[in-house]
Parts: sequence; structure tokens; C-alpha cells
Amino acid sequence: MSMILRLRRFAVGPVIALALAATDVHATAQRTFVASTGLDTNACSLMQPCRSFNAALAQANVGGEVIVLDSAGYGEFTVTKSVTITAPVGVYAGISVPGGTNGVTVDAPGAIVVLRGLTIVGLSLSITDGIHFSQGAELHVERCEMRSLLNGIYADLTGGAMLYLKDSMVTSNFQGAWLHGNGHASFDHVRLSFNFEFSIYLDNMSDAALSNIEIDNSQNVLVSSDANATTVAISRSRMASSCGEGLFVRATNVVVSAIATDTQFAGDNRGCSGAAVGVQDFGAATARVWLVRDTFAGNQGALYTVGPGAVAYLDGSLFISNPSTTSTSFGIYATGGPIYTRQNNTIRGTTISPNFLPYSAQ
Amino acid sequence: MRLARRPAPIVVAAAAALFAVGAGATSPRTFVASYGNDGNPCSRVAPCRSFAPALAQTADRGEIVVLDSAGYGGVTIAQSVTVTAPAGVYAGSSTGVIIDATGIDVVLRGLVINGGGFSGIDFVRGATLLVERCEISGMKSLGLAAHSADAGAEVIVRDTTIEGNGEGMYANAGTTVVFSGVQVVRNAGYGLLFQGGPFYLRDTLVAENGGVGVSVEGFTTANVLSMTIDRSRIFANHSVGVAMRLSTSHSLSLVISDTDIARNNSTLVSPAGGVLIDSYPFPGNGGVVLTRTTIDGNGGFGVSADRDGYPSFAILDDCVVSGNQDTGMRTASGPTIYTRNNNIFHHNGGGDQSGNIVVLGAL
Repeated sequence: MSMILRLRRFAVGPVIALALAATDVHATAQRTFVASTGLDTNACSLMQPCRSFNAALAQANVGGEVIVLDSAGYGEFTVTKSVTITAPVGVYAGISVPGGTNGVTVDAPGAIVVLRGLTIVGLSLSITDGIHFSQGAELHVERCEMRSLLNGIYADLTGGAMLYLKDSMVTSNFQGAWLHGNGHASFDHVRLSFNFEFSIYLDNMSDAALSNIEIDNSQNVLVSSDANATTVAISRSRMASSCGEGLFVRATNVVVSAIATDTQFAGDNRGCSGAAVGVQDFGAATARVWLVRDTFAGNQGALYTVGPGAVAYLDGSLFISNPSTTSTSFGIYATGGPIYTRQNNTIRGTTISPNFLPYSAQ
Repeated sequence: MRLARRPAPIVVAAAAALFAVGAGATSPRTFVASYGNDGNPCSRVAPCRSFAPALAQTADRGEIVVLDSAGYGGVTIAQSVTVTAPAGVYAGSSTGVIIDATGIDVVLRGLVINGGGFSGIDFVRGATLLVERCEISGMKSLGLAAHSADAGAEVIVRDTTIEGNGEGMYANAGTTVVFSGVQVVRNAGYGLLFQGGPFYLRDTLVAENGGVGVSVEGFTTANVLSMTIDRSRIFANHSVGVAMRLSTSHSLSLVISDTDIARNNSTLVSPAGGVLIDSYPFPGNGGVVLTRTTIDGNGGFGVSADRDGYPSFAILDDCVVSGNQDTGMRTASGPTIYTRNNNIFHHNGGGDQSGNIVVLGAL
């Protein structure tokens, strides 16, 4: 018997077994693959990739991975279990959203879902979400782009769910990210541009940490709650050229706090009314902001408080050219609660209302 | 009867198939590749070879995706579109990109525009332009010409290098410019020339340009505006690091924070080296605010506010002004420099300060 024949005989058994496993509809793999050359009737293996995310997801283990092999569109999909979907750097993985359904739907109670490297694009300004998270324990979104959608991301975080958004772009949507419910969110290195309504709407959230956020030409960040106490920390970020508040903190019946450190508010509300930061007690509530080492430059107005429970603290911040050209207000304007200062702020070209109270360091 | 009707869906399907390959059809996502052919439909399986034919096949607000490394030619864009070369794929163009239609939104990502053409990206008309991960070098005129005729146009540039062009970038009055992670280096003339703003620069390097690093000339707008430079370096430009020239009825201000302005004007082509506020040839009443910023080792004055009795100003707050060849901060003929009395001055050749210096009260 020749060597070739012996090798052949040796190889035949495993090949048949693999083929059987691949065609077994119940078998799943820890790692499945999609490619432009794939077929959805394949096993979604590296050698026989599938063509769409939905097919590869069905073949992936709980806690498994779907990997994109080359640049192409891979279609909308729904996640119902813990899974990681990765398009490596250098591979374009597109999802076109024509309308009627969402780009990515996560409806996976208790699951941990990771999305990496996806480009989700609405066609004809479709009234659907790029990523729609209705149930799950954690959603991690990294290196993704959401464009031309109703909401770039919509997440119902009720019950303490977590959303991590990192190294991503949210552009030209009606709203950038709308996060709802008493869960948690972390944004880092996220760029939100040209969104029509709010770039980030934190709606009855428990807490959120936003760092290295860049927002341009949108209505920036709304923190609003009437049911859950909310704490938001913003650091090293920039909010530029909005028509609407750069940061708007609004509370009804609960305590809502936001602290912004090392953050720039520039060119907000030019040609519009309002101010870069708005703080509003909407009724029986406490709304607070701390503005620490922030820069306010060239906004229509810099800061206002409305309602007795609305308070602001200024510490080492710079206010320059926030003239508030509307006749009824000031660049820094306490119509509600007081504005406390550490007396280490620099203010010029910014009219101020008299309700400034110094407070001392602890 | 039933039998007679059955073929109808097939006819529809056949018509749809014809439509898909018809000359007038466009697709929301088209592809280009080194192995493509411009006679192709620019689909994933049959990509085109260059950008211009791919654009013609791309739907409004659609996307052109680059599949592998090659040159893909120049293109004139007159519709909303995104052009994406993923990281790791080189997508070259020597003639550059022209954007020229009112109201359009264009995204350029991952392009290498190098040599030959007039301007790298010429934004003639359009509402918004987003440039990411691009390299623009060796162009005869401007790396990026942002002179959109659209009112309120906005240009966002991120993670991009503008190097070795005639001038780095020009923006006309009224076009908002937003930078993040941009390098503007070794251009023959200006690094950045902004004719009125507003602009917001962040994490940006402006270095070794042949003229002024960042020049702001508010000649043509009559707005209350404020610009920002944050977390950046303005380094070793042949002339002044940052020059702001004001004009009548304008109230321009420029806030520079957490930034190093160093080693500019080393051959003394200008009396001012680090930062210059000047009202020539018109009177102006704006100024520059420097906070947590270092002005070090520049030729001439570190910070200079000058000219003719007009109320321009500079504010220094928590800055270091050191090792400049002439006076550290100096004002003459009208402007005031305000300090928070929390700055450090040392080793400035012409003394630490001169002129009308006022200590600001704290609020």
C-alpha cells in the first residue's frame, strides 16, 4: 500500500465526521465565520463561511464568536444569546437598514453581547434604530459606526443593564444614543456629529460615565429623570456648535447630578436661545452640576439654573465671550437656585446674574 | 385561469433583475478594488477600478468601500456620499477630491492624497465634510481648502495628516472647522489660515510650517465668535506660532488651553514669536485667553498684544512663559494683558513683562 493511499484512508474518517457535523442543524461551534464568498447553507466554518450574520449566529455557541473574514455587507441581525461579533480592524462589515426593522436587535435576557467593527447605515433616513437593545445584561459596542438612523443606539437598560460604547462614531441620525431605564452606561472616545436631536439622551438612568466624548453640531447631552436618581460624570470632552444646550440636566421629583471636568463647551447655541449648560428643577426635585476646569467659549450663554432646586458649582473654570444676546438673560444666569463658586474662575465677556455665592474648599 | 396568472411574479422578478444591471440603477453600497473594472456594476463580486465610476453607481447618501490597496484616482463629488478605506487598506489619489454641490454631506475616510493636484480636498460647495484617517501631502496649493459657498458649512477633520503642501489649510468666514488628532506639518506657507472662524482644534500638532502656525484673520465677518485650541502643540513654525489679527466691529476671542507653543519664529521673522494679537490694519476688540499653556523658547516676544489704542486683550491664567528671546508678555499702544497672578515667568530675554498688565479679580 502506498503512502498516499494510507494517508487517504487515514483522512477519510475525520472528513466524513466533519461533514456530518457541518450539516447537522443542531450542532453549533464556538467560532463561526462570515465572508463575501460565503453561503448561508454552509457550516459557517473558516473553510466554509456563511454569507450573513443571522446564519452565522444560529450556528454559534452561547458565548461564542462570529468573525468577519473580508469586507462586504452582512445584513441586519437579531441576537438572542451571549455572543461576540468581530470585524477585525481593516475589514469593513456593513449593515444596511432599509427601514421597518432595526440594524442589530439585542433581545437576549441575561446575556453579554459584544459588537466590534460594524458600520450600520440607514437608507433614506429610515425610521429604525442602528442598534436596538431591548433585553440583556451587558452590551459592549466597540469600533462601530451608526449613521442616518432614527436612533444610532436605543437601549432599554431597565433592571440594571450596562451599555459600554467605545471608539465609535454616531453620525447624522435623528438621535445619537437614547438610553432609557435604571441601568448604567460608559462612553469612551465616542464622536457624535450632525445628529438632529439629542446626541446622548440619558433618560431615567441610574448612572453614566462619559469620557473623551466629542459632539459637534447636535443638541449634545440631555440628562433627564422623573423616577430614578441619576449621576453622570463627564470628563475630557468637547461639546461644540450645537443649537440647544451642550449639557442639559433636568429633574422631576428626584435628584439628578452631573459633574463635567476638563470639558469644553464652545460655540453652543449660536443663533439659538439657551446656554451651554442648563440646570432645571422641573418640580420637587434637585438638579445639580459641577463645572470643574471647564472652558466656556463663544456660547450664546454659558449657564443657567431654573427652579429652586437647580444649583451649579463653578471651580477653576473659564468663561469667555458668552454674551447671551437674548434680552432677558445673562451669560451666567441663576433664575433658580444659587451658583456657588470657588472664586478661582476666570470670567470675561460674559454677563452674570448677581446670585453668586462663594463656597470654600473642604 | 390560475395557470394563466402564474407567470406574473416571474415577469416582475425578471424586470427587477434587468433593473439591477441597468445603467440608471444605483446601489447604496458600491465597491472598488485593484482587480476591479470600471465597466462593472461596482458590486461586491464585480467591483470597479476607480472612485469616479463607483460614485456614478452609488445612491445618494450611499457608500463607496475600498476592498484592497491601490490608487483609485481623483473624483468630483456632487452628492452626499461616504468613501471608506478600512484601516490597513491604502487608497491613493494623486489629483485629490473636489466637493461641489449645495447641501451635500460627504465623508472621506482612509484616503491618501499625495502630490500632483492643486488642492488635496477642495470643498467648493456643500453642507458638511468629515475627513478621517486621511493623509494629504505634496499638493501644489492647499492640503484642505474649506471655502464652501454654503452658509454655515462645517468641516470636521480627525486623525489626519496635512503635510508638505503649499499651505496646510484655509477656511473661509462662516465655515465651522473642528479638528481632533490632526497633524499640520512642514507646509511651505501657513499651517492653518482661518478667515474668521469659528474653529475648534484639539489634540492637534501644527509644526515646522514655513509661515505662521495658526493665523486667524477676522476681516470679513461681523460676529461675536470664539475659537478654541485645546491640548495641542504649536511647535517650530518659521513665523509666529499663533497670530490673531482683529478688525473693526468684531469681537473675536481665542481660548488656548493645555497647549504648548514653543520654538516658533526662531529666526526672528516677526517681533512676536509665540502669540500675537494685533489690530492692524483695522481696530479690533477681541483677544486671546491662555490657560494652563506653556509659551517657551520662541524668538521675539512670548505673548504680544499690540496696536493703536484699541481695546484688544490677552488673559494669562496658570501659564508658564519661559525662555523666550524677548519679553515674556508684552503689550503696547492700547491693549491690556490680564493675569490671574498664578503664572510662572522665567528666563525671558527681554524681561518677564512690560506694558499695561492688570491683575484679574476672581469670581
